[in-house]
Order: sequence, then structure tokens, then C-alpha cells
Amino acid sequence: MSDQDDQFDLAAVRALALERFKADAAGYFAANPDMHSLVFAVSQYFSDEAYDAVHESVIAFPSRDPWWPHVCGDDDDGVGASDGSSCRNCGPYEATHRPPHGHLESNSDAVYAWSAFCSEHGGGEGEPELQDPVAIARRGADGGVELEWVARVVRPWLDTNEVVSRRDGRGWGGVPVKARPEPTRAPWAEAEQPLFEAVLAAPLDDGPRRVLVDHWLERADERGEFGALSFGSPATEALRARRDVLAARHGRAWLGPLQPFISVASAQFARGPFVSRAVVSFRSDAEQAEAAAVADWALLDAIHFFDARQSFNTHMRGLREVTGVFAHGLASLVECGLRPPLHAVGLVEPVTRGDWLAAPLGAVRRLLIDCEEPRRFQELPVFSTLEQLEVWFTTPTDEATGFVQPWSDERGLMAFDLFLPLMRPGASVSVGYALPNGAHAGVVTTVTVGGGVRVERRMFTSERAVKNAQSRLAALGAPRPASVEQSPPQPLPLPGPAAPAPPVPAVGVSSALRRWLEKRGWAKPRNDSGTRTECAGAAGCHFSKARIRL
Amino acid sequence: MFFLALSCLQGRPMADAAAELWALGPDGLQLTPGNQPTPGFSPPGPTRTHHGFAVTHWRQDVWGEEGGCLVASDSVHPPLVTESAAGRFLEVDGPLPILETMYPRYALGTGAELEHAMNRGLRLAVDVSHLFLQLEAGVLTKQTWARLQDYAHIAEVHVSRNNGRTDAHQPLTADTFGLEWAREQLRAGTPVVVESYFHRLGADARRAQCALFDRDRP
Repeated sequence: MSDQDDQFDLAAVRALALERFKADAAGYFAANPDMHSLVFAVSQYFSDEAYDAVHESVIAFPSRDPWWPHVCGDDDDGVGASDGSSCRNCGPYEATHRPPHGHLESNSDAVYAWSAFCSEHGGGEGEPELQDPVAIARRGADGGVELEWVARVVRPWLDTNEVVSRRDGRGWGGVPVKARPEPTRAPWAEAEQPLFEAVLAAPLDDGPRRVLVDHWLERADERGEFGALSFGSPATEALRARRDVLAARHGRAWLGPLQPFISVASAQFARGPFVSRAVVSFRSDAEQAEAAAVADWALLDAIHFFDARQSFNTHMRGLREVTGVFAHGLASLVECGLRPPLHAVGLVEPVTRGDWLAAPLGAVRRLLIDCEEPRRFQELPVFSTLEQLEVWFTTPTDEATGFVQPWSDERGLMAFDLFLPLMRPGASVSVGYALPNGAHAGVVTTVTVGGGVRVERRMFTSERAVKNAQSRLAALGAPRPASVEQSPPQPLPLPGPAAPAPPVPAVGVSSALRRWLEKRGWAKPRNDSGTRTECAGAAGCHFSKARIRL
Repeated sequence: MFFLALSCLQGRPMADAAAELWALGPDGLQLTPGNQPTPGFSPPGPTRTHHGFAVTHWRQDVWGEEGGCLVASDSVHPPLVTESAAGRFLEVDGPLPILETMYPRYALGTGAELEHAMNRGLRLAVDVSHLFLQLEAGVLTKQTWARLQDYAHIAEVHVSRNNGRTDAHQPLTADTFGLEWAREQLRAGTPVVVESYFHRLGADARRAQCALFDRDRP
């Protein structure tokens, strides 16, 4: 519940939970100097009586950049997992060394706050591999705590205050709970209308946007204040924080007629108070048809289609990036005659060579494939011109049970064999795994043709996710990370021979990858320190900078 | 009749879930609690109602403190043993809805309670996955399970799969506990409801779940 009144406010509940997580993290880091990050994760347990408790978990990591998933160690020995991470299930028993717990009530506020981010496992209670990360707390350089928002909306229909009024009709504990009404965009004033239409008419042009922002600035309108802060990065931390506060306060209203189709937790605003990136979902065919009439789609630079109910429309002229695309989605792009300046496309199912050639995709330089079987994408006529290919294996599930299965490196190595020969020198192929919530995470291996091999562990890799996380967190009152760019891959931590011995996780490359590299003559035998000092082979791979521990 | 429970896609918007499940070709849908209400929702075909289902909310209360049933659903779960209704619901006046066989922590969650229910001739919805939990917990004898299989007042059969420890609603496999008996019940005309989670199953796998019963449907 909001502290301010009796109306339920989703944003306020989330902010409260993160505020407490941050305070817990400060205490934990103070008592545990060897641990450097905490991941706040959630999981939802359904029962057939529709009890749908959401459980908050915290997992501690010895490195600044955590990895995923955490796999519990022995419950009984209290020393955590073998890789140095630990949670309340497997970590130390002493209160000061045990990772903290969440604070929201599992059967009420936590359900409201986090359901939209909980994957549909159908039962994730107490199973770490079924948890979905929400935020990362890192030990800050100044002794403080840096918070990063990494949640991914997987059920957009729950990202609304209305969720609270649809629960059981009588509130919790017999106390009726009312949802705070969602804000809407006021009709355009007479002077604003033509200026906004100019924005829509030239979505790639900053000029009309600046004119409208100036118009608002002259009238001390907060849309103008945000707009002035949204072309590039503001100069100071305070200004960036102010920008993000404004987006959090008004973002839902700024979505205007797009509000039914866009989860506000996924939305980013840029180049004025206009939505630039978002997860798009249509809840019915009728809604999808209605959406095609909304001119505001022109504002968007990047969209991710939430599911298979998807289509392009003629208003989406400014799209530079689109992900989550099915074959029929691509077909709708051709059918509507749209020619957006796309440079990045993410496919979730194969399209035919003919369909790809028919679509206006000649400028695409970055291709993302979310799949279980990459060979079905091999015939696409695009690899020779790509700069970057990312293959993300969807989390494998057992056909018989539908439940998540252990990950394997073998498919990833097959992807290198498939695609590297098709790519030009300087281009790169990355292989990783998508979490059940669709986030790109885990161990990521990148091979650059004629370049090098890089293996990394990272939580979230997309620039969008990082920027979104930063803006959302800042809007919720959290301090911004010291480093703006959190997303670039970091080399693996390498325990040097003279270094003290913190519990550095065993982060060497897998035996499968090592065999794969050695088979191709890309790796020389290890030296005395256990590190690769050089590597050459068919693709001229170089290991020394990667600091891979084999 | 062969039913799919709305809880196969629990958590999804009600109308979306109903449409996706109906497209798989069941004879009807069992309306269960736990889906996001869709304004104006109208089921696409024949239905049975279960426990705290409500068109306008995720769920509603089922048992009053005095043991009275507050809903008009075809079948319900008995109360938790910690609820005040647990000691009273069998004693209230008036007809009882169909009561589901449960697992420990609930009334009708042990073999002894099932024996009592059968002695009273209560109408039962037999959830074979719950009975598997009872067996694994050591609270159900093979004799009681055998008696239950021949019980004359079985009004529904619910099927899903679990590991014997938690009611996980996993998709069915050929060796799922109670599946063969459930198919016999379907052939005999008892409504059978599949309650497995379909969220992470592809279209083919979902169809395969239904196909397990193809030869048993009239």
C-alpha cells in the first residue's frame, strides 16, 4: 500500500522493497568484505486454489558482476555453492554472514509488486533456478551501495495498479484495497497539436521534438524539463536523477494512446517525453487491430514483441530495432509496406530466405536469434553482411514435464561451427542462454572472426536493459551506479598467483569449450600459471587479453 | 467428458487462457480460480466450475468460519486443517458440493478421512496427483486407494503429475500415477479434468497432453 493514502500504488510498493533491499545490502557488505554483489530475485508459486505467493530471495556473490543461475550448495554444510555464491538456503547460518531476506508479505504486497516479473514456471517456491532477477546491489567504491534494476516484464497485464482490485473482491484481511487510478495523457492543447503532429511526421528528426520541448519549457511544463534532459546524457548526477524521477512520475501518462499495448515497467523515454523503447503486447486480436490506428507508434525506436500476437503497422516509421519477431510478424512488415530504418532484428523463429529478402532488412547489421535449434536459421541470406550475431538459446525444457532442464554448452559450440564460416572478418558471434523470463544472461562466449575469443559471465547484456534499469532505479530513488556503462563485457576475474585468496568462483571455461578450441588448434597447452598466454589458429584467436582460466 | 482446467494457463488473462485451451479441442473447460479477469468474459463452450472461481476476480473465499460453503461451484477443495471450517464443514445443514481428495494439511488429506467420506457416501472429485502425494507421505494405504477406485460416488477425476513431494501440476507422462485409472473413468462417463501447467509447453506438446485421452473419449 502507498504510505500516502489508502490507494494501492505499484511503484510505491516496489520502491519500498528496493529501499529495504539496499539497506540490507549495506549491512551485509559491511559484515562480509569478501562478497561484492547481491541479487534480489523473485519466484511465484501457484497452487490450484490460486494462492500465488511471490517469494523474495537474495543471493550473494563474491564478484561485482554476479552470474546466473545460482545453484545451491549442500543445504547442510552452510558454506554456500562451490562457486562462492550463497543464498539463505545454502549459506552460512550466522545472521551477519547469511544473505538477507525480502520484506514484502509473500501473499499480498509481494504478489502485486513482482508478479509481472515472475516467469510462468507453475511453481518456483524454493527452487533457485526458477527465480527471476529483479535488482542487483553492488558494493560501491565509496562504501555505499549501487543498485541496478534488471527486472524483465514477462506478464505485462499485471503491471498495473488495477491488479490489486481484481484479487478476491474484499481486499486483504477484510480491508478493501483500491487501486490508484492510472494517469492518462491530457488532450493536446491547441498550440501543441500541430507541434506533436510534426514530431510524428519526422520521427528520426530531433528538430520538431526540440520545438515542442521548448514550447513546454516556456510554460514551465515538466514535459519540457524532462525533454531538455533527454537529448543525450545530462551533465550531472543530480540532473540525471531528476530526469528519471520525471519519467517515473509521468511515464504512464506519456504513453498516451499506447498505454494499453505497452507495459510501463518496460518503457524508456528519450528525445523528449516520448516513449522510445518498450515491450509491446496485444491482449486480443481486436486490440491488435485497434493499435494499428494509433499514430504514436512513430515515436518508438525499438520494440520487443511480447508474444506471437504481433504485427507492424504503417506508423512505425522510426523503428531501428525490433526483437521477438515471428515469421508472421515479419510478413506483416512486408504486407504493410513499412520501410523502417532497421539495423537490429531479433528473431524467435526461422523465416524463409525469400521472406527475409522480401522484407526491408538490407540495413540490418545485428541479428539476434532466440532459439532451441540454430540450424534452422542457417539459410538466412544475411550473415555475410552482419557485424554482430547473437545466438541465445532459450532455456531448455523437458518435453515430457515442461520443466527447466540443465543447460549444456554443446549447442553453443555447434552454433559457432554453423555461423563463424558465414561471417566476414571482424564480425562477431556471441552465444548465451536466455533465462526463463527471456532475459539474455549467464555465460556468454563471443568469437570474433579473425579476432579473439572472449568468455564472460554477465547478468544482462542488452544496452536497453541496462539503460532501462538505471532510469527505473534512479526514478525509484536509488543512486545511480558510479559507472554509467555497466553492460560492456568484463573479462573473467583471474586469481593471480600472488594475490590474496578471496573466494573467487571457479569461472574457467567449460571443458566442452576447451575441447572445441583445442580441436581447432586455437589453444596452446596451458602454462605454469594456468592461463593461456597466446592462441592462434584458423580464426587467429588470441587469448592473452581474455585472461581465460582453463 | 474430457475437460481442461483454466489453471492449465493459470495467471494468464481469463479470456486468452480459455481461448487457447478451447482450441485444443476438449469437450469443456473447468473454470478454476487464478486467472486475470477479462471484462465481459464468456466461456467458449461447456464448463464446470471449481473452488473459488469468479468471473470478476482471481478468486473468492470458499469456506465460511462456521463451515458453510460460500460458493456455488461444482467442486471445491475441503478447508485447510488449520481453518476453523475444517472441523465443521461436514456437519452443516444442506447439500455439500463435490469434495476433492486432498493431501496432508487439508481435510480429506489422509486415507482415514477418505474412508470416513466414503462411509458417508459423499460425492468426491478424485485428484490422482493428490493421492500420489498421500501415498508418498505414507498416509494412504493401497487398500483405501483400491476402495476409492471402485467408489460409487466419484463425480469428477482430476489429473496432473508431481514428484510425490509438492503439488507441482507437471504435464502428464504415460507413467503418471493414476492416469490409466483416470482413462477408465473417462470411458465410463465420469468427467475427467487435466490440470497440468501448459505454460512452457509448445503447441505440439499441449496437443500431446490431450491426445493421451483420445481413445477414451466417447
